[in-house]
Amino acid sequence: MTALAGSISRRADELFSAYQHDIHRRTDRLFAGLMAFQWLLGIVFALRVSPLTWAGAESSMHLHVRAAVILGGVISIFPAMLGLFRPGLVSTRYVIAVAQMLMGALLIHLTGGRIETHFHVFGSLAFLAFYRDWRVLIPATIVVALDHMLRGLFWPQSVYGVLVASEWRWVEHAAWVAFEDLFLVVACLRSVAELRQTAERTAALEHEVRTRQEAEDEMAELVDELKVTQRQAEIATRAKSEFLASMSHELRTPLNAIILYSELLQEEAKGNDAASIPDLQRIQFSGKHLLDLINGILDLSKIEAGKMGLELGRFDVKRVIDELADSVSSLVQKNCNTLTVKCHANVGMMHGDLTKTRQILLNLLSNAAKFTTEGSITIEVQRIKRGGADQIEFSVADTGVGMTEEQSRIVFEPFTQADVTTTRKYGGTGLGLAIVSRFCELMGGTIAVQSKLGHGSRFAVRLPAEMANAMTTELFQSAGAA
Amino acid sequence: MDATDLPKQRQFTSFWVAGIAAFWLATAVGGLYVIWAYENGAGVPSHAGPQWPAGTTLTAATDRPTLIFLAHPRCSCTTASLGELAEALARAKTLPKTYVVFLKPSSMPDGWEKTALWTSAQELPGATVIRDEDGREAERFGTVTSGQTLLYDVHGHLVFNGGITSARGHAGDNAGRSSLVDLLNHATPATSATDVYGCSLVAQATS
Repeated sequence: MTALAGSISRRADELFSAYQHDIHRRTDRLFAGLMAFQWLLGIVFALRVSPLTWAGAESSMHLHVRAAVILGGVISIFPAMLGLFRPGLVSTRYVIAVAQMLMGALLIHLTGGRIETHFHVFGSLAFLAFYRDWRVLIPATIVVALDHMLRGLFWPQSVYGVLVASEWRWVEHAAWVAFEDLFLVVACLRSVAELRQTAERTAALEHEVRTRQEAEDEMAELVDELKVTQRQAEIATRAKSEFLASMSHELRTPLNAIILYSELLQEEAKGNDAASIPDLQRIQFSGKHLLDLINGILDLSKIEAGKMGLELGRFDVKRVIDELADSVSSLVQKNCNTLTVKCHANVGMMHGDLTKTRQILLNLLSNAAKFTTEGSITIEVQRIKRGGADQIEFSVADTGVGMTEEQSRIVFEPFTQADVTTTRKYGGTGLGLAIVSRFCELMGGTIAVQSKLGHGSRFAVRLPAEMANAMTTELFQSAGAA
Repeated sequence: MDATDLPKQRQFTSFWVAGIAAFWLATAVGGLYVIWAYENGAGVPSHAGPQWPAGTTLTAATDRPTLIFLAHPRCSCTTASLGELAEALARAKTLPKTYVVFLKPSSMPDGWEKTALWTSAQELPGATVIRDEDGREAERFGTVTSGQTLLYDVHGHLVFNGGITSARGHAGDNAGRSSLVDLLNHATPATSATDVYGCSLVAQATS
C-alpha cells in the first residue's frame, strides 16, 4: 500500500468511526424519547383497560396501574438517562435493547396479552436495527427467548394456550424472532458496508479537494512570481528602450556626417576619380539604411518607453491621401505598378495625429510598391461606424508577392520580415510594420492584414475619426505601460 | 485533574454504571415476575354441586345443554372471558341455553351493572342476560369469581366448571374454552374443570 493510499484509508477509518458514533448517539437519543413515550402509553393502557379491581361492591386501584407507573418507570428511566447522558456507548445501546424488550413484555401484560401488542417485539427489533449494529439484536432476542422459556415452564397456558406444553416450545417462538433478526442482521451489515463506502468516497474527495487547493495555491504563487518577473521585465525593457533612444541619438549624429560627406565626395569624384563613385554610393546607401534602422529603433523605443506622444489636429483626409499618392508615384512606377485611389465621399475631416497617420499610410504604400512588380496598388478610404463611433478605414491592397499565413501572423512583430531572403532581395529594416502597428494602437485604432502567397496583400487600418485630447493621454500611458 | 486520572475515572464510572444496570435489571425482572404471578394467580374456584341447583330462579333446558356464565359487570379481566365465551359459542354445533348473570350489589344504584360487558353479553347468540341482586344466584351456583362458567347437560348434570381464559384478562387459546367447545360439540374434553381468573363477586377477596 502506498503512503497516499494509507493516508486516505486512515482518514476513511476516522470518518467511518465518526459516522457510526453519530448514528449511535442519535439512535440513543431517539430511544430515550421512545422510552418516555412507551412509559406514558403503558399508563394510558392501564387506566383505559384495567383502572380498578373489584370485590363485590368494593373497588381499588388495579395492580396494572401501579405496574404501569412504577415498573414502567423502572424499566424506562435508567436506559433513557443513559441515552441522554451517555449516548454512543456500547453499554448504553445494550441496556436500551434489553429495556425495549422488557417494556414490550410489560405492554403485552397491560393489554391482556393481545396478539396485536406482540408486534411491539418485532417493531422494537426493527427499531434497534437503527443502530446499524447487529450485535444489539442479540441481548434483545435473548430477553424474548428467556421470557417465553420461563413463562412456558411455569405458566404454559398463558403463553401457549394449553395446560401442558413441550418444554422446548419456547424455541419455536424464539425462532420466529431469530427469523426477523436474520433480515435485520443482513440489513445492518449492508448499511455498514454502505457507510464504509461513503467514508472512503468522502476521504478520497477530501484528498482531491486538498490536492486541488494545494495546486491552486502553487498556481497563485507562480502567478505572483510571474507578476514580479513581468514587472522586472517591464522595467528592464523600459531601461533598454531609454538606453536605445539615447544611443540612437548618439549614433545618428556621426552617421549623418558620413552620409553627407559621402555625397560630397561623390560630387568631387565625378570630375577626377569616377572609379571611386560606386564605393562612395555603397557607403551612402549603407549609411542611409543604417539611419533608417536607427530611426526605426528610436521610434519603437520611444513607444515602448512611453515617450511617444500624439499631436492632434483636424485635417482633410482626402487631401492627405492625394498628397501621399503624389509622393509615392515615383516609387510605384519604379516597378511598373499602377496606383488607384478610392476615396469615398463620406470621408470628410479627421481629428487625429496627421504625421503618424501619414507615416502609417506611407509605410504601407511603400511596402506595396516594393513587393509588387507590374501589378496594381489600391488605396481605399471610407468612414465607417464601429461601436457607435465614427472610424476612418484606410486599406492598402496590392497584387504583389503576398505572404503565407504564418508570415502574416508575425508581420507586425519588430525585426521580422516575410523571410531572410526578403531582406536580402527587397531591403528594409523589419521595423516598419511594427512601428505602424504601435502607432495604430497608440491612436486607439487597429491594423489587420489579409494575404495570400503570390496573390498580394491587403492591409486595413482603422483609426478613430475624432480622437479626444483626454484619450491621447490615456492611450499614451497605455502604450507606455505595454 | 491529571491526564492519567482519566482512565481511572472512566473505569470508576463504568463500574458504577454496571452496578446500576445489574440492580435495574434485577428490579425490572422482579417487577415483571410480580405481574406474571398476579396474572396467573387463579381466583377462588366454584364449589357448585354436580346437579342443577334446586333453589335457582333460572330454568335449565331439557333439549340442549344449559350454560351459566357468572360475571362482575365492572371486572376488566372478564372482558377476555366474555370474548372467549363468544368464541366458544361461535364454534359450538349445539348452541346451549345461555345465561349471563351479572352481579348487582344492592348498595349500588340502578344501572350500575349496565356496563360495556352487559352490552357485549346481550350480543351473544341466544343468551339471556340477567341481573343478580346481591349475588344470590352466584351463591346458589357456589360461585365467587367473575368469569366462572358452568355447563349442565340435558339431565341437569354439571359437565364443566371453570374459567375460559388462560390467565387474568388474557385472551387467546386456553384449555377451558377448548373443553367447553368439545363438550358442546359432543367431543371428549381435555378437562372438565379449569382455573378461573377474574374479580371476586363478593367483598374481601382480591382480584
